[in-house]
Amino acid sequence: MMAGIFLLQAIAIGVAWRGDRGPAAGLALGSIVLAALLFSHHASDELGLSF
Amino acid sequence: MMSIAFARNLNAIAAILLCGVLGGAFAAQFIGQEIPCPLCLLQRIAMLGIAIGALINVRFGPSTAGYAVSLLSALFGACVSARQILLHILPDDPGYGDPVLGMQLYTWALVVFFITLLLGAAMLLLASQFREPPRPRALNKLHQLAFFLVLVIAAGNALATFAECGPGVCPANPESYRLLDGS
Repeated sequence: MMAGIFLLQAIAIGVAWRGDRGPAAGLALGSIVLAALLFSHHASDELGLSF
Repeated sequence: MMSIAFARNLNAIAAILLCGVLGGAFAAQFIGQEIPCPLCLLQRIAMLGIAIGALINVRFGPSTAGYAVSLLSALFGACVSARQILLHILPDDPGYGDPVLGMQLYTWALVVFFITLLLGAAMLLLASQFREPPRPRALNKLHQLAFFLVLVIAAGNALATFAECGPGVCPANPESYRLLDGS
């Protein structure tokens, strides 16, 4: 799952290289949002939920 | 007065410096045999997010969108590294991984995120770099190097993380590479 986020970032770099600014920024922000969701999932570990 | 070319070069240098930090983390992983924890991987994602924001500024010229991607990534990364510091803040806790120059890697990461927040906000104050609308621009050797290094680091992390965690969620305290030991 985390590997998929890195892959998304690699795609964002490729899209920026091709010259599509909006999609590149969207993919970059999307990867951070997904990472934030994983982070909140990890933080919920303290409440007894597994990561 | 900040010219567009100078701002693009600064962003390229920032992306290359971040690749140096991430390369150091790779060295700790493969030479120091330290398997990164989920929080460590999230901090790497945040650093790559900062670098991608810088690359957007390099490719299209400085824009608030590029700086926003970098600043939001830095803010997220700071939250993650601060949490990891707090997890190990109790006395006699050895921390996660070996210290580098007296501090753990996640503590250094928090320093990097704070510096990014400060410099990114300072760059936004220099309005002369935004005088032309963003458009695809030609890349010189420095810019191409920045793109190449960030892409290599992102792809390398994707492969290494897939080997460590597989397609599922990463274990909280990883002790081996899932794909290599067959678990």
